[in-house]
Amino acid sequence: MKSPSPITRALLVAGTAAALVPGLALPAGAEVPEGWSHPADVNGLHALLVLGGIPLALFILIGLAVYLPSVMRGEGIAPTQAEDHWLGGSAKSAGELQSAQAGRTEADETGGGSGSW
Amino acid sequence: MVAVAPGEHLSRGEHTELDRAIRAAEQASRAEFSVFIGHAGEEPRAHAELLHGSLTAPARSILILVDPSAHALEVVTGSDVRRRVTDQQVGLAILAMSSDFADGNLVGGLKRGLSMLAEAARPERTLHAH
Repeated sequence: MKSPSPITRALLVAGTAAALVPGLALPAGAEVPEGWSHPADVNGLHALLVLGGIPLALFILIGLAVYLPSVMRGEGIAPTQAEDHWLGGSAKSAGELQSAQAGRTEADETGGGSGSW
Repeated sequence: MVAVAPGEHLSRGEHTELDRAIRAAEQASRAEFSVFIGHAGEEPRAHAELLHGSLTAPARSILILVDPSAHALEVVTGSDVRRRVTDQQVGLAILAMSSDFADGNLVGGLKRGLSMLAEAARPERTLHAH
């Protein structure tokens, strides 16, 4: 038997999918069976409160649970900056560093270079 | 992989490793080496020059500054040492270090840079003709 062309095969797959999806979803649109309850329509505002309000409240609650203990201990909540390492350097303060720079002469002219990655 | 404590750029082992590399570079070149890893502010070059100026013997010193968060790298050579280490040689060391840093190899890059700069700063052997 001759195998169908790729176009025919694609059309067949697309057609089957297009027919199956509404076909399978059809029972969802059927009438409510007899004996089942008939609840009132859901209010839009109520739905918004349930679907948006509850996740928002949970978000705030979890955020408070995470940050409140460190705030109570007087610690900052900003991410901490990694500590500086100076190997083979001096332990001078910022003021001492500035005065060391001010005392430099032209004979102390430096070289070197800059880069980034 | 070496575990690094949160808020630290280097583990204790890496710190020791770099200390050794600095000592080896100093012995090989007779220049003073200093490595700063940390926040360099808005102007890394100015900060590197500031740190270099505060060293015990700035003229004989080479400072390597790395700001991992800003991806900035600066090398400052003192007035004496720059007679032996040209800015072009520094540029090559910077290129090698940047390449390792881009691969996430901070310590390896610094060791390579130290070794290249030490090699460049090595005093030339002169032959005395009679």
